[in-house]
Amino acid sequence: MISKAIYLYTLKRMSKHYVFYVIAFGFIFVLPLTTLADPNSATAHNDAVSSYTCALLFGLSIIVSQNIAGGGAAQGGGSDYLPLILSRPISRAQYIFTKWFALSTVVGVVSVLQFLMLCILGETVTHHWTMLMVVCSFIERCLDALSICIALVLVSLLPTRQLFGYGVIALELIGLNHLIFDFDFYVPVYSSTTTNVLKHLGIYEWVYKHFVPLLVSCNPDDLLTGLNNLVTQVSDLIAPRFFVFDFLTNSTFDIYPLVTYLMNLAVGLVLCNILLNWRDINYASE
Amino acid sequence: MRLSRKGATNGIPIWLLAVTIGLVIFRVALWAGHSQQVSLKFVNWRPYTELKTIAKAQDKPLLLYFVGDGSPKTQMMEDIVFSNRMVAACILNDFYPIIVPGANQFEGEQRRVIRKLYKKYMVVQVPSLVVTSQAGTEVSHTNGFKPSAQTYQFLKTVKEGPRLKEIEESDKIPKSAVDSENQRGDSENRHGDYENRHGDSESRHSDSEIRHGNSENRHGDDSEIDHAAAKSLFGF
Repeated sequence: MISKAIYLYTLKRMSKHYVFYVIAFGFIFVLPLTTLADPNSATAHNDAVSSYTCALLFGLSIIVSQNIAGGGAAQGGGSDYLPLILSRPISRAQYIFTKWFALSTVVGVVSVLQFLMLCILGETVTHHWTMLMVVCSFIERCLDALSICIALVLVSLLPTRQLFGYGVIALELIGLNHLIFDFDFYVPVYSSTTTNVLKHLGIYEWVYKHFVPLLVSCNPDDLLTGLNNLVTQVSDLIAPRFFVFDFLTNSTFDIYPLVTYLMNLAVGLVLCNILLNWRDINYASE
Repeated sequence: MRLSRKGATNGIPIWLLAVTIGLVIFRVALWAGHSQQVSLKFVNWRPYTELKTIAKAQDKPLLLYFVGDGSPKTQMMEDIVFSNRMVAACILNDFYPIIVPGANQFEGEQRRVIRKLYKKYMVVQVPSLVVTSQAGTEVSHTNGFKPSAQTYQFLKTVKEGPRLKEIEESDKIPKSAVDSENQRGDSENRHGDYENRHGDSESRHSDSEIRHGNSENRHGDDSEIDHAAAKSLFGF
């Protein structure tokens, strides 16, 4: 399913630009240094070096600066999309899988290197990590890279520069949401007889706690709350997180989070395919 | 939507669609069981009303858990983090756990007290964990949902870090300083009284001075006591 030629070409294309090295240096060496600032500060955790933030912001920087996935933003301006297709007929799915895998490789490697740097700086010692936590963190960084890179590929496949810009802003909001707003305000709950149906569809929480209050509320606090929760729900849908340590050590073994994560990956890949089909670019004719 | 056949260059692979649909169905099926699953509760959270009484007598730092009025992230904390044996053991061994609900579900005095707690620790985000010394001075806090590993690291770092000891030491200093000030003030007044009793023609003047001194002492004591009360969490 993966084209080796495109995979290697994508990696080579990334490594050719000095911008890539500058950004990677920042993420691998500079950001972890912030943990040395005050290891006993009131806020014990530095979210700037969390796996999710690293994968999202680094991936975003790469696709914006280099347009790795060869999407619509670069139409008529340096995309690697058409030459690849014309030189060797491949399926769209193959193209998407390869780009996703290549981007995931780079983002995952940078994320893992950042964690290694954190280990060298003594983060695991000062914050009392157990060996299992360290191992799980490595796995989590790879899984986060896979999850987030689907969203990145999806955005980079948007057909116009304008849509691409909106997509980038949406991803930035998701990053901001996880970086700063990973919490809830209080939102009043509305009762209804249709809750069971909504619960079975899995959108009850979203509709009754976030979407409805967002629409009917006139209170600025509620509006802010609703917006925050809406962004949280959407970000969890687009780029879900899977906590490996929780999955392995929770007292009740529950595969629901794993299935949710896999489902989101699969849905993301299908959406990428649909998007590329929607663009209606016929490789052969072009 | 076109499904790809062998050799076709466009369309969605059939196997991908099949896997996606299968996972969606499986997830919906699991959801029914997952939503009814009751997570194990290892942490026996004490009510916030104990802050005034039992919590003060503990030799452990306090762990205040601000939950608001119920939210998805709080539920996640309950289901994922506090049902984790490692985290629960850490909390039970090293902290005195206290839960602080949202103020909206209460009226009157209770509401006022809870709001004061949220205001004191500047909690606008739930769930939040705040570690305080026994006197109520904040040591460290988290904002929002943190998975088990991060919560465990947070608790261990706070418990074994130097910040908690520093704050506990600094909590003791003002109290002892206030006590010694009071004692010194009392002995000085007693000494002044004794001198006045054996005084000469300036007795009236010195009396007025002493009265002034006493009032100053009282003022000083009051302000220090107020300061100590302000530092203490539990003097609502």
